[in-house]
Amino acid sequence: MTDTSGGASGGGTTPRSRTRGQIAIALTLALLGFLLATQLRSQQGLAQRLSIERESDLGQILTELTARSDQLSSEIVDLRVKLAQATGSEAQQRTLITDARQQLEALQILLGLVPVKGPGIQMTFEDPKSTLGPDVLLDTVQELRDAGAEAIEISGVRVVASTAFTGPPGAIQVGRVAIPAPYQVTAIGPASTLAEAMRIPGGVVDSLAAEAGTSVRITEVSSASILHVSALPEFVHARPKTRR
Amino acid sequence: MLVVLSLLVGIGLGVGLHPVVPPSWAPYLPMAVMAALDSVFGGLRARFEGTFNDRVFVISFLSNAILAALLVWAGTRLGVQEMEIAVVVVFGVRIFQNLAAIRRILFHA
Repeated sequence: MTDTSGGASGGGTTPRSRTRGQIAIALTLALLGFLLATQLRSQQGLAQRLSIERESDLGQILTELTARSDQLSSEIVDLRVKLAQATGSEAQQRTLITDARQQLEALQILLGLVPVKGPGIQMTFEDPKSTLGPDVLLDTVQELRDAGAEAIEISGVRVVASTAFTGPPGAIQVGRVAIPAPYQVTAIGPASTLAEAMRIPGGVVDSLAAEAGTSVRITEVSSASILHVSALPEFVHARPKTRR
Repeated sequence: MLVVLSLLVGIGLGVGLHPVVPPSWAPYLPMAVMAALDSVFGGLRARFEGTFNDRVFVISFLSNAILAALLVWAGTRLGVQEMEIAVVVVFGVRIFQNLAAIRRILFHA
């Protein structure tokens, strides 16, 4: 293309203007390529297609898009409702879990499954002549419970619902564990109330004073620990009457 | 050689940069492309007829492309909705004429 076009471009053609002409042609054709590529590429877009669609087609597309938009809006509403329900039920579940956890904690303490600590009293029963029977300890436990004791331990044995007090004086068994004198009783609860309950007329301290050779020492403590735990009882015969 | 090379460079730029066509320009770009194609085939025909002039080619290329786009734009402004068809028909006919002339020169038929 170069030489012949130069001849055709009229008089006064110099090599320099010919070069300039070639550059102009090259730039122009590069622009053409650029335009072509851009146009071909843009034809793949929806917006460009829309601009050449007929009016009726555009109407149909609009209807479809509106329907789709409506559908999505109702979907949003549905999902919002579901979200609200899920959040509500989650809060409900959280309350249930909190309740269950509190219940579990109470039962664990009641059954003596976990170590506990708190204010309470510590008592020591001296019995050098082995005159105290298990009934004294049982009475003590009853009195303590009546006064609001929440956890009781006697010489390293946790006193729970199934704990029995057996044996002759001097060989007392608490929950089938033989415990030697002196008997150490730890109770957790309102300390002053517990101590007072022990000292009321006709109470534990009173009745022990009647027995010769025995004595009881009571100490109120702000933080007593009951570290011994009892095993989870296995129920063979008793079954819940109604199952939840 | 130069022609093919610069055309390929232009296509490469268009594909590589993938420029975004603003939606408001969308109806006018194809018109400009039609006009540009017409100019290129006109230039090719002039080359074979020995009357090619690079100034004429470059100026007709640019002015045709811009005028075609402007015409369609003016048409939509004036409420002539199908102005594209006029441009497409005019340049389509001219492209065919140019191609026919080239064919006659090349194959003498």
